[in-house]
Amino acid sequence: MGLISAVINTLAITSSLDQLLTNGASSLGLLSSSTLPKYLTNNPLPDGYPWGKHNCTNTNPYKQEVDTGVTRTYDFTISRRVLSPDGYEKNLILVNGQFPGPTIQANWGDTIVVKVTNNISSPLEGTSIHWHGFLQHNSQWMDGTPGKYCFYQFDPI
Amino acid sequence: MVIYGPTQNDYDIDVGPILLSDYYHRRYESIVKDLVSPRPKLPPLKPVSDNNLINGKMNFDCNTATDKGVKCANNAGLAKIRFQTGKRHRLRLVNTGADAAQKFSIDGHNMTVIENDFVAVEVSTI
Repeated sequence: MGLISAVINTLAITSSLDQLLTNGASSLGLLSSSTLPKYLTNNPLPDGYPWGKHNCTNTNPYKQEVDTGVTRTYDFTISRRVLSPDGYEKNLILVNGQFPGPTIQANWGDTIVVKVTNNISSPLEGTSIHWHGFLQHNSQWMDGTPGKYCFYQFDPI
Repeated sequence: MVIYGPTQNDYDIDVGPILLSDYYHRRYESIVKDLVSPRPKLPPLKPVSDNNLINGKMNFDCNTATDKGVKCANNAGLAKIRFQTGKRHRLRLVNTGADAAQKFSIDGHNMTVIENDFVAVEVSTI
């Protein structure tokens, strides 16, 4: 009984499909997936932090924006491809060949730029990207307007 | 999307995004068509999800597939996350689903909510 349940447990955690077939170029969900830093350090660190002495009690995102002057630029190519995330084969929309898409990383006060290339085929289809969780203060038109922009720029507040 | 900022609660290891999502085997065109089609005096046709994914991965019992003609493999593979004994891990939970609320817990461990969408919250351990 112990051996049988051990075998069943092993089967349950063993993947029958390679990551390339389930998730394309994404490494999320693999033990080799990298951990994240406390903050990005390829930028100035006034008072030891990218955002200096700012914190949640001495700032107000509606009145005063933290600005590091740093811009993080990402290229997103959107495409359609057959993958099997849970084993069931289907057409998926991918970002840079990945499902789920890549992780955007930025420090508080940075500006994020995402250049989107629509490479969706079979059939051709329009696309836009909506960014959850941001005020989009002074950048409302960057929140997923279809068609007009293939370029998004906003501050992560 | 990960925005680093000041934290009120320290941690040892940031394991990164944990995406929780309902998942549909039907083409999204067909789901949207159902949802927006007029049905006088009746609620919209809401699709029933086929699965729930963690970081884009989950197993599925192919015997329960609605369309048996589609290529399907059992035990495709679960998402795996590496944890270290005795360390405090930061988990960045994201509901990337279309419809449902998501419940998340870890058997035998405490989870403390420290932040919501880059906004500090009153810390609570559940």
